[in-house]
Amino acid sequence: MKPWIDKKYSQLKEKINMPGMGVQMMIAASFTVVACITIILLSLILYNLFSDRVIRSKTESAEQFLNQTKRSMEDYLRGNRRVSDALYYSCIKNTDLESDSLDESLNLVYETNKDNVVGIALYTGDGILVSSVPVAGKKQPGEIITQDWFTNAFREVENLHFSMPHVQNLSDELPEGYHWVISLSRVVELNVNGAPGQGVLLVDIKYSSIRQILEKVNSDNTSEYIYLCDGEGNIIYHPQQELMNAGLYEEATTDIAFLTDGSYNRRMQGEDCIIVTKTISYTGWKLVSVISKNSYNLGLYRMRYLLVFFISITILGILLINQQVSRTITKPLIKLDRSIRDIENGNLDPDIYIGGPTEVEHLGRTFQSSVQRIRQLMDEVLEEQELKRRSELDALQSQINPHFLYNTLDSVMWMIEDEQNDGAVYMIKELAKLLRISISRGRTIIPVRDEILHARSYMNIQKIRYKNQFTCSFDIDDSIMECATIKLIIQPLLENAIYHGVQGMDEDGEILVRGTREGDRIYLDVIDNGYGMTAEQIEKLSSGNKKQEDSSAGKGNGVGLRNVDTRIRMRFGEGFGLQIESERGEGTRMRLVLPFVEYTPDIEEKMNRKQHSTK
Amino acid sequence: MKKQSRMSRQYGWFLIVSILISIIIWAAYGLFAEEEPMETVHISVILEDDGNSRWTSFQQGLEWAARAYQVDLTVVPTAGFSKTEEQWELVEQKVEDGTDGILLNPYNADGIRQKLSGFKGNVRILLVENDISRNGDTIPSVSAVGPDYGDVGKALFDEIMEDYQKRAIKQDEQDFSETGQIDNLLQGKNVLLLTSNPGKSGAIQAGEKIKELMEEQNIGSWETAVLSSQEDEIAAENREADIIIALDDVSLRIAAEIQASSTGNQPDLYGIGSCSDNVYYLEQGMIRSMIVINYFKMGYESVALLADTIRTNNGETHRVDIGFQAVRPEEVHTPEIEKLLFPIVQ
Repeated sequence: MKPWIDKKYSQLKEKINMPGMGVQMMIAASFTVVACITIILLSLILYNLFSDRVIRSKTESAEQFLNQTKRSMEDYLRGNRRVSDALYYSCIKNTDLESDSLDESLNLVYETNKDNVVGIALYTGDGILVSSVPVAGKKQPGEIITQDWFTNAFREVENLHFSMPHVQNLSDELPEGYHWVISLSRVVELNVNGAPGQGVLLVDIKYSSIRQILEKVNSDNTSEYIYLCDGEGNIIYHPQQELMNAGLYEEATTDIAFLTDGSYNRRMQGEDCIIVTKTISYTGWKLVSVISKNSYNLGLYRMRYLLVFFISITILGILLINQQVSRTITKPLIKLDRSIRDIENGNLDPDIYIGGPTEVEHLGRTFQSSVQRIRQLMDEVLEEQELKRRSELDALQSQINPHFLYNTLDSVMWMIEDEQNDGAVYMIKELAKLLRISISRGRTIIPVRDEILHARSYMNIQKIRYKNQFTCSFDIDDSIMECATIKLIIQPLLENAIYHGVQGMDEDGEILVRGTREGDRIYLDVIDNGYGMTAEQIEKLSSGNKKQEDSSAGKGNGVGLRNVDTRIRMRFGEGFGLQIESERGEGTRMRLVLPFVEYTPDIEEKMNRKQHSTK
Repeated sequence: MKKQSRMSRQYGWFLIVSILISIIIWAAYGLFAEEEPMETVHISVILEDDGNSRWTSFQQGLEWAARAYQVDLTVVPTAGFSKTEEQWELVEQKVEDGTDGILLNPYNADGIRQKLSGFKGNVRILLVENDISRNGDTIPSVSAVGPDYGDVGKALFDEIMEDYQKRAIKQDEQDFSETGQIDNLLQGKNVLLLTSNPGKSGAIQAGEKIKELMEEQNIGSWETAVLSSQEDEIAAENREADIIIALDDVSLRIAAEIQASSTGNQPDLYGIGSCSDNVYYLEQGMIRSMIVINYFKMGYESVALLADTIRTNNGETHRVDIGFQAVRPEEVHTPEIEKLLFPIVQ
């Protein structure tokens, strides 16, 4: 998954030409994205909670309202049932139709209830009119017994039946107007001269009364209304009834009629609606409340606008604030970054920004000290390089010291004049060896073997010159002969041993050159039994005073102890170099400490590379 | 490259902020803008004898549509007209009063056609129940809402034929014979076509259609008469006719009243009607079949169309056909017919 995401991210970056993001952008973007996602999620959750609450509230309100309406309807219908009961139990049951008339009783009940009742009629089971108010019904029995209200009464004899709204005209005379009625019919027991019989009591209730009850609970709002239907979905009352009759409006009632009491979500006429149903007792009629989405969406539409408004404002605010905050946070980093870029561009003395939050300030200080340290180290390296260059130049210069050459040739000359040809040849050979090794084809690193040979040649010449005032022996461990060393490091020590050690000792002077190995180090010692040196003398020799070196160098080959020490340290490091131990009257030991490195023809190149890399 | 990325970032930033500001403005507008209420239009209604019960359903339709379409409705009280000028005076009066539109039940098609041809006002006029078209007109000259009286005439004729067929079959059954003539049932019958106003295009169109069909059927003879006054009644009583076809509500009612008060063999009465008296006579069987027009729908559709025409201010003419139903006595109290015949009155 992660590789796929990375791949898509890279492709997106390429597509929109988006190079690496800066810290500021990253902070701003990530804060903004997180905040936006949080706000949007919260808003959606709150909106959903709100809309659920609205819907629930509407549903509960509709249920309560419907309950009230149901009670009103039931009260009204109960009242009408009482009229029928009163007629039956108080009038009809106790009347012998053979001898008595029901007209007065019927009329009395009618007059009492005429606001609500259109007419009352009593028929025999054959459809023959017994009595009726207010008009005398003149329809034929054949027409009466086919009427729904008549047949329904006999369907369930014990019950009272409320018919669907219809137009009633029981008279054959021209009516003043046709009335819409709901017929309440029941089978009654008739008493005709003591003989029981069955009949049907009809009470025609004004349909307008029911209409009025339901019109009161309906507003002009077509998105929220209540209608009344029977158990099969036939409309009894609907606020758009006239439009329905004219075919201008439709209401899908068939499915609704079979629902049990409760609330439902339905889709009607292309709209989502909440349907609440309540069944009216005794009749099986259903009160149905329809709440279309429009009625509660009105508040929700505004809520949606408010939500979008709020989210947009918040996102804009977050963007601006995040932009500012990220700029504030990253400003010190950017300044620091600029300083680093200065250094990248070669400015080694940049104005490094130190400021901002603690961490950035610390970073700046650390960076500043790092730059200073780098500058310092670079200066040191330069200095070392300069020193090395000077040392090697000195060493180079000393390869051929004119004084030594002059003295040696002088010695050769008097030897020849003295016809000591062998001695002269020997001197010249030793001089040639010495010079050859001194030059060493320009190399600085030579094997210890060659360095010893150089020292031997030097001492051989010096012994002759000094007429063997001293002896010189070499005790070099074979294992170090093929080690690498810097050239011309033993000769200055020998020179020093001669001039400060054994010179003038009347053949008692002894100089030993010893070479040993201990672990990864080799030690080349020049030990003499001469006069020794005081600490001040040692210090002078080691201090690197070139003038003093030159003054002593005039007597010998003149490179100087300081030069030797410096060259060794420059080449091999601080752990190596020259150590001098001397005791006045006892002698002096000068020790060269070198690393145990085997000599190879390309050793110098390797050492040079290593030197550069360690720098 | 660095400059380019900075520019593209700035561009992106600008784009995002612009989009957000646009959304904020849109949401603020949606939140605070009040829905503009529909402007109320004023419509006057001029009917012939507006108090007649045949207009009850029509006026209910008017009121329903007025509520739905934000219309201020004025029904001009009239008792009836004797000439076009009387009706046209009311039209001019309403125009002067500043009405936006007039629903007009034309008294006389030719008269109103003439008046309309010279009418220069901005007030929209829509004809109800009858239009002013002549035979051969394919494009209405003014908008109208009403039934196609040609179809009404045909339906009425078909009712008569079916009624006679049934009776013929029944007679055969009674006579146990199979020699009843199903074809040419009306041959030899005298047919009287009645109208209360020969100037009404509806009656003219229905009558023409019936005559055309009678000619096709080779029906014996027919004549037309006007039945609108007591004198006409007396004259009508003396006519001999086997079949009376009343082409409007008034003539049907009068013909039915004559039948109700007469004795002896009465001609078979058929017609176009809707008032409560005619419903009664139909119920009693004096009218053997009646074509009932959906007046509620006619009222509703006429207000809807006129309100829309006024608001959109387009000069197009429209014709909206209104349905009708043939009703027989035994069908009067069926649930569907009751809804058509009997307006739910408060």
